[in-house]
Amino acid sequence: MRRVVITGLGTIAPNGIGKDAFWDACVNGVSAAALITKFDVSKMPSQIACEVKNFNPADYSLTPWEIDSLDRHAQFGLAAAKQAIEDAQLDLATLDHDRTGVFMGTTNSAPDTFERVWEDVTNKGELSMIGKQLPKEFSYALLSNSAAMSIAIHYGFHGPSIVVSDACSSGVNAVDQATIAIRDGVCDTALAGGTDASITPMGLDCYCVLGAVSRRNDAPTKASRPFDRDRDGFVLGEGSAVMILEEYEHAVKRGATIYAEIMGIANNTNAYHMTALPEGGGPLGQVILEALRRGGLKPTDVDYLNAHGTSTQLNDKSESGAIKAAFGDHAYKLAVNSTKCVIGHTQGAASAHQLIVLCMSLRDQIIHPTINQENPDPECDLDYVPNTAREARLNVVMSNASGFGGFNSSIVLRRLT
Amino acid sequence: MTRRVVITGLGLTTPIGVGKEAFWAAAQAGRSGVGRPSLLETMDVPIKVIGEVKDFIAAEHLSKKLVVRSDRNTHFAFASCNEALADAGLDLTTEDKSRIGIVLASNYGGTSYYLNNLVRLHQKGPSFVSAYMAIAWIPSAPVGQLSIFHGITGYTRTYLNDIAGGLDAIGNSCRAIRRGDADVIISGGFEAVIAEASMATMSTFTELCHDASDPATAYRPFDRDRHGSVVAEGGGIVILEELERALARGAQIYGEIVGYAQSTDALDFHSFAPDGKYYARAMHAALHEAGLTPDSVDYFNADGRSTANADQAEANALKVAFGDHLPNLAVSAPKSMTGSMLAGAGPVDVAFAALAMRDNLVPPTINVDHQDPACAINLVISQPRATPISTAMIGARGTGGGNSVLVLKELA
Repeated sequence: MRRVVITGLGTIAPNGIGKDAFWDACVNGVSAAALITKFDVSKMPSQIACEVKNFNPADYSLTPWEIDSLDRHAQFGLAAAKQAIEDAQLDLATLDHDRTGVFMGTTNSAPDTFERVWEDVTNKGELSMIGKQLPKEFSYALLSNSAAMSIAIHYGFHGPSIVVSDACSSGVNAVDQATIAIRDGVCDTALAGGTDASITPMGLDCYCVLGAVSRRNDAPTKASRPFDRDRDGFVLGEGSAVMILEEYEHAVKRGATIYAEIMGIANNTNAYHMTALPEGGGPLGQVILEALRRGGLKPTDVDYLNAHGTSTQLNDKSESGAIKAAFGDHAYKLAVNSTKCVIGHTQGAASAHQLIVLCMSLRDQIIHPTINQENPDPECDLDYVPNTAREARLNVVMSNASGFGGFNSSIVLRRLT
Repeated sequence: MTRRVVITGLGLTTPIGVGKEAFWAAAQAGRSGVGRPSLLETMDVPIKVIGEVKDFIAAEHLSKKLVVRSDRNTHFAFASCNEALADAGLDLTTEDKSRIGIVLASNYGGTSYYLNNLVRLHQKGPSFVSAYMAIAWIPSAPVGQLSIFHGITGYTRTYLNDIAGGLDAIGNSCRAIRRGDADVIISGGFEAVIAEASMATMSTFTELCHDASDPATAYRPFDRDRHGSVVAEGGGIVILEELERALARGAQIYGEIVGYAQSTDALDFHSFAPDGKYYARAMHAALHEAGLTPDSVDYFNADGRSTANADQAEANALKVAFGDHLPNLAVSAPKSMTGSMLAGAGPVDVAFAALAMRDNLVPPTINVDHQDPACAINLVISQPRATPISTAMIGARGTGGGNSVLVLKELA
């Protein structure tokens, strides 16, 4: 079977733009959570988010059309793609564009553009949208697949390109699509990851009414506290993460730096509830084992697991249960952390951000801390790498994603030595 | 040994009929489902020609509770899924549901839910937003709700790829079954776009036909006097099943999916590459996977977007891919009858092709009064054409230049 490796990383993250700034912030436990300033949150129970600040699309060679017409999430994706291509030192002049594909994950494509325009033309819902003057390229901004198509068009990649939308599992499932395409021989190179820009009134409020987001408005950086007893919901985030995936021989031949090999990815479904989770983790435990089985690995081979860890009461308890069910005694020897403590829940990009973390962890042999661990939850009794980064021997690492709707994904990466 | 994948069930919710029989009868009669917008009767909808799913009563297909908690795209998905499972003779209660998957396509997700709740949020206050907003809005809502209703714990996924997404869902499902990720996949796509937000958005899309004196004649792919595609709502489900399993239970088999490929024009967001080179490449790649030569294809179900650029690019792609065989290849765009159901188009076109193969009858392209001379294809016009069909190819193209191609073959 053709092997698939990761050779380039790019990310727009709330706590750092570019893989190095992002990683430094993660290792140092720097949270990006703050009061939302881009819209009026005075009547919302949750008023905080991890916003990407100072993002200027012109810094990433976006064309004037892309800057004027595309939604923020597509622009995040284009920026991360440029970083990833540069990080992988891909030579675009010699790269076979016909065998390069683009696979991106996102949740709701373009609420940022839609709500901005809608508020403006309807005076926040006083008027109908019908018959109002809308931006000329509005339908392209709202195009569901723009995150993938914009990258394919910008670079002229002619392989397959598609957007995957599996709620919080979108990013890793896009990486799964890319891995399959490379294994099947359709592509030698792929750009894959996730992007999301859903910090909008509805993007926030639809979770407020569910009681899913933290209301710790007086201490935003303390709000995302996965696995801590006093967690009260996730913090909304935004951003993108794009990776260069390559067929192993293709990468070796051009002397690429390899961050990791993708050993196995698996998906399953809870079939339980759109937002609640089964006691003990349910199918998530099985999907962890299935990803390992596909990678020809045993649970005891795993050194570190980057959890979905949203900081909701339900998820963190259920996920800890799934980890215990999958790993048995090894669950207590394994390091587990959650990147959402510092970037919030970046939705469709979240599981892709987690993969950037895994690659950087393998490179530096460091596990970033889960910050805000103050009062342990007796039901979350694993080693969550509390508060301080840790050096560790890392060879086999994993990551989980679990989305609204009950979509579970698990992925295993291995360092090549 | 490679696992083979066959179609064993169809479920359809379309402007020309809800249910396979009504749908296929209308297709054979060359009947248009395009009319004036009625679902948004209080609004002066800027798009005056539309394919609506008529007389659709959601509560006939899912519980009243779920009707309220989900958008119309999920309602369509339940209706089509019920029909497709019954058509396939599958009783899920006796199945290992970890081996069953659901893979669908969407674009706009729960767009009515979104806008209704946006108005509430801003006009009444944040606490007036529905608790079901998040889960009705997300494009993966139909997959999530179907998985919960049926207790399906296997492989699930949702694709967003404009008009090509539904075909991608089916092509990727086929691959998932071949890999062994599932034994049965409920696949397809749905769109419920006759809503204020999506209508307003699409009114800025210049490739759409906005008005016509006779709505039934508005969608005219490959006609010299075409003026864009006609937007529609609806979609369908195709039950995909591993061949040995389907044979063992004596299932009806519409055909085998033997090839699927995807490529990207990567030209710009506004047009398809006129030479059709990458579309043709996807056609060749799908045939290569199938181990077939171009001359073995009897019927091509076209994307038929009905703009000069898209139709001519599609005709050019066919010329490149099929060469001397082109005059013998029956081509039609039956979505001229249904309208373009966006994410719903792929499964409906697969159903057209599967039924065409079953009955050896090509469904027609309607409204072609003067075939564009720049589209020199053997187009089946107005009336269905009786001809032996053992292999059919389906093409789908998304805005942004995505090309998806699926090959169906009679089970040998």
